[in-house]
Amino acid sequence: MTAEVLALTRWEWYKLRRRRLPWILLLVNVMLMQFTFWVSYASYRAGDEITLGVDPSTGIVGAVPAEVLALPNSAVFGLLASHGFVAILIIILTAPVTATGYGWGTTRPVRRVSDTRWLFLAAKLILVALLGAGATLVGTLSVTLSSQVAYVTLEGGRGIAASAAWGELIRTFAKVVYGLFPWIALATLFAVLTRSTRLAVGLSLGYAVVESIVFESLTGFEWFERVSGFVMSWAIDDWLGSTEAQLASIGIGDDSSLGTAAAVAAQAEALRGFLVSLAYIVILNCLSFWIFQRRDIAGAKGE
Amino acid sequence: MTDTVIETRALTKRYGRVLAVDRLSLQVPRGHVFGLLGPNGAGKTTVMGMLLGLVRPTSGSFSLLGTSGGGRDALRRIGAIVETPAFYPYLSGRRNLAYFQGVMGRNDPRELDRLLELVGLAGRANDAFKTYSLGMKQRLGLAYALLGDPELLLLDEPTNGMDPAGMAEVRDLIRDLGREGRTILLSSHLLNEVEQVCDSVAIIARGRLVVQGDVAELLRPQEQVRLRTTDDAKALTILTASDEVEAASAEDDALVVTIAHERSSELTALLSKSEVYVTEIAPLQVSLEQYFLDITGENGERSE
Repeated sequence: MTAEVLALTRWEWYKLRRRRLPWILLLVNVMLMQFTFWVSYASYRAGDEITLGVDPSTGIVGAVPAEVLALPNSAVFGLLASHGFVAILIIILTAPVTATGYGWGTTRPVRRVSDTRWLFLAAKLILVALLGAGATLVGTLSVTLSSQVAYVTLEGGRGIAASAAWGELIRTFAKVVYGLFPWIALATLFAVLTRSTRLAVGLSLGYAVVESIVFESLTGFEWFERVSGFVMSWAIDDWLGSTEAQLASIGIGDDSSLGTAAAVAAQAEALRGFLVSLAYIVILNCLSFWIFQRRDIAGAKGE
Repeated sequence: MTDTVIETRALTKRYGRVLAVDRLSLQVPRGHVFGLLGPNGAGKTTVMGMLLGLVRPTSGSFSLLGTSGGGRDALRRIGAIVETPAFYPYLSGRRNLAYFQGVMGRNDPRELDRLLELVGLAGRANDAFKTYSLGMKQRLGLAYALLGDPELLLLDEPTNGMDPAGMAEVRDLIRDLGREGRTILLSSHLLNEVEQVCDSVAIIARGRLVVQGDVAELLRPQEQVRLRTTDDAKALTILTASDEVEAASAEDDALVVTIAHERSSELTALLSKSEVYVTEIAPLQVSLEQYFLDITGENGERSE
């Protein structure tokens, strides 16, 4: 069964790689990560520190020193800073991978030769997950390259010193890739449910916007504070770590401000984020498989 | 090895309040080119969809190639086109076939060459599917259905959108495939197509089976002769009064007489006794179209 799913995954790639969409999204991903990096670089050239972000409750969260331009910090920082954009890109890729089969009616002939439907959907999910990981890797490598260029242009790395271990980069890479899976599951569910690429992308992005904007406005309520950890995108953020924890994790910022208790709390949050994300992945995928397996497969919708 | 390749038992599909297929029981014998004939909306595609597992039956059951419900192994021995052939528009015809062949777990470029040649697409095999005409798409669909040398073919309106020459070629191809011993279930609303290609036929209307049998058998009971005489009016009176004649009527400038095949030779003797002489007599072959209209038109409610 595993061999069959992997063979189907290979054939999914056979046809997907001949579309423009995955290559365009890969290019956008690389450009976004490059943008993040070179904005940091430009800020560093302008002054000595780079403002990373703003926390609405405390004001400026962190001013990132020059270490962010050196490897492996630069790659870790690039991964963490761009994961929100990458999630959007993976939604845009995932929805058509499943929904175009309905639109073009190609699910019908595939069904004829692969009667166990879940294998077919599993192959699509595996492919998108692999592509998500691949795109993240390419983006990371591009930042690595830029980091080397920046190092040279800053007169031998004026004041830049690497402080994070390379192991941290691998760990962050794995976390960021895992953080894509709930979005893949969400977009797949909407694709199977609506059988439309446009609707699936719209609903998935709409859901992300609702979480980031509407739920953000509810943070003042005590009841929401209790459940906020179970909102999907927030759970993913918890898994990746808060901004302060991110900075500390790559050796940037004031470690001491976190304190032991705060570090333990951050670890607990990350664990909860992992488990909540896992629950989303399992539940959304189970729903997708159930619908895909049960529902009649109609002809082309012409979309 | 079973002699019935497809058997449906009270197969029913309901879409909300619409009854698309109503307790359909069919038997398709091995090696037959079997026509599923019915007007648009009769439920032909839904029947095909249920057999292929694309559409879940509301009730009833079926077996395919001896497997109840059409299992995984049975489906792998079936080739099918359902409705308009669906392929990836940005891939070439060859790559589309290669993809589906790969999904079947096979990789045989020579089979692709052979099938593309067979359906007359070898010259356009490397062009994108989106550039194909409807007829070319149908041909590619046929090539796809033949991937893996299936023993059962389900073809849903395979000549749809083709020009007359293309239709004739595809019909010849279907006949050849039938001669090779394959069982073919061909759905069509084109009566002459079914008449030309099929050994057996099931006529369905409003999702219900109207009649099923050999094409020749279905047409045989409708034995009629067309007759011209020296005095048609007098002849009509004589024939109408005769016990041997089932029916007689004047149509255009001739008489149409329904009479048992073995007794048709007695007509001339019967009329000559009254000094009416036959100047022309010919068997009137009732077309499937006429038969179809008879049983689904005025008597459309007649079933099973």
